Amino acid sequence: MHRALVLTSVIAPLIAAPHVHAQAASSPPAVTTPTIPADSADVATLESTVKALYDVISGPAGQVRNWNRFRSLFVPGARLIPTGGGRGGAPATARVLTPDEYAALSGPQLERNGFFEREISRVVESFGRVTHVFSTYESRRTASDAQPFARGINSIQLLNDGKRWWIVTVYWDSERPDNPIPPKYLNGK
Amino acid sequence: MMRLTPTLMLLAVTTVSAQTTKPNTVGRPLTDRFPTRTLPEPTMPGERPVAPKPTAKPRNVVYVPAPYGYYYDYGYRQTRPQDVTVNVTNVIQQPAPVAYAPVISVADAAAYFGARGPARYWGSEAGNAEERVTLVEGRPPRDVDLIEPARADVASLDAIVAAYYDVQSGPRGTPRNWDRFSSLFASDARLTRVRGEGADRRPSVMTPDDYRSIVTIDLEQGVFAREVSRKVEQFGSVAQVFSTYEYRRMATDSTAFARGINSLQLMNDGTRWWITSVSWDEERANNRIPAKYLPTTRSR
Repeated sequence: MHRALVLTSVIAPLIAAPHVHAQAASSPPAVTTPTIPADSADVATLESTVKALYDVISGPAGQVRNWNRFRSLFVPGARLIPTGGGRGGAPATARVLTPDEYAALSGPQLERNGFFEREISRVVESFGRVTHVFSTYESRRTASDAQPFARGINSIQLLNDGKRWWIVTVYWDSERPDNPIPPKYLNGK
Repeated sequence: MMRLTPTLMLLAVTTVSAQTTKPNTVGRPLTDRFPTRTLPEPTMPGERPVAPKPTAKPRNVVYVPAPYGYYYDYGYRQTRPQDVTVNVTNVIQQPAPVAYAPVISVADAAAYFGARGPARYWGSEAGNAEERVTLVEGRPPRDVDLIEPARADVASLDAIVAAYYDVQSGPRGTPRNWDRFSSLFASDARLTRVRGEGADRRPSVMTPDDYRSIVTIDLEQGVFAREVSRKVEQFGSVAQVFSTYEYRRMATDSTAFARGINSLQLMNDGTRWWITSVSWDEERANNRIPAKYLPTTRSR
């Protein structure tokens, strides 16, 4: 009751009339020019774009990754969203990161410990300018490790503007004992 | 966007309460709250409105687009979108309200805001960046805390996808429930597409509020959106849906006037579903929907 009262009577008059315009004027522009041009070989096809995404974060311990190449794959405003299952019935959590934030948070770990991630299976749905990929990954510390130390699935959303591919969202969950990857996303592996 | 702290909110509430001379005004007709004489000069969408000259006579024009929440006569939308100013013959003239002052006691407001913690609103990119610090460790973003979802809308993947279409659907001239729309989204959600044609094609990234501002006029022409087919992939709390939709002018129309596909990314946090991202493309003469994304005759 209180809630309805406050919402309709306080907030509506305050934000309804003049601020509609102020809001439109101050909201971020829908399109900005990317500051880092992509290598056209990376973004020419869906295949090369997804490959570049895995490739650019992979490398041995001590190797500095090419974060500008990483950033160049993403549309301005893109996000990376890792999720994690809640423990003991707690709600699952999600982090919403920009490519810059991902590089800042995860970059040092990848470069310190070594990290090789590759795609082992994929489901693609594509129509016109919009595509999404359900991409199963394996992570290893070195390229020659027999067993991966982690697996999971990336849900990758992409746009194709006719000139290049853009990654819009990379959204993933990792495999856990209570969250095994279904066989249909493992391609027999 | 306004970013009111709870304290400021309380202050606002207190001030208007003190000036109150009338009984509870909740439930008064919408027309009372937005007197026609305050209509700004008409502008093109996206243009900054010009304050009306104090001496100018009130003009019989309608502002396009009519902001959500305004009372307006929608009969003017015979053509679009070049209609910028239109003479209106049946303006409902009403005396301006004396003062619109909701009656809320300070105790009520304190109980409300105190119990719910700080109120947060969808903000600019700069504002979000500042809040992302808390999002990193927290649950899915809760900027839209004030807009609680209907539990039935977010209880299952089927329900949230159905709600996404349902909330955009309605007959001509009916405002959509954008609070319900926002309640489906995680607060950092985006809606994206490639806009433009030919060499002008470019990606466009929008917040749910941006989306609302660009589609309101089109939807209020009368749109009934319906999902006709979907492909779902799900793992853990992550789900993606490739969802084919049809638009009809009226729910009873036998044929659709537009079709397309939404790529939806959704999250199930164990207590509810969230939409985290929507990308879409429309069907065009040179971009037909493949048969595999259309319902088979048998399933129809």
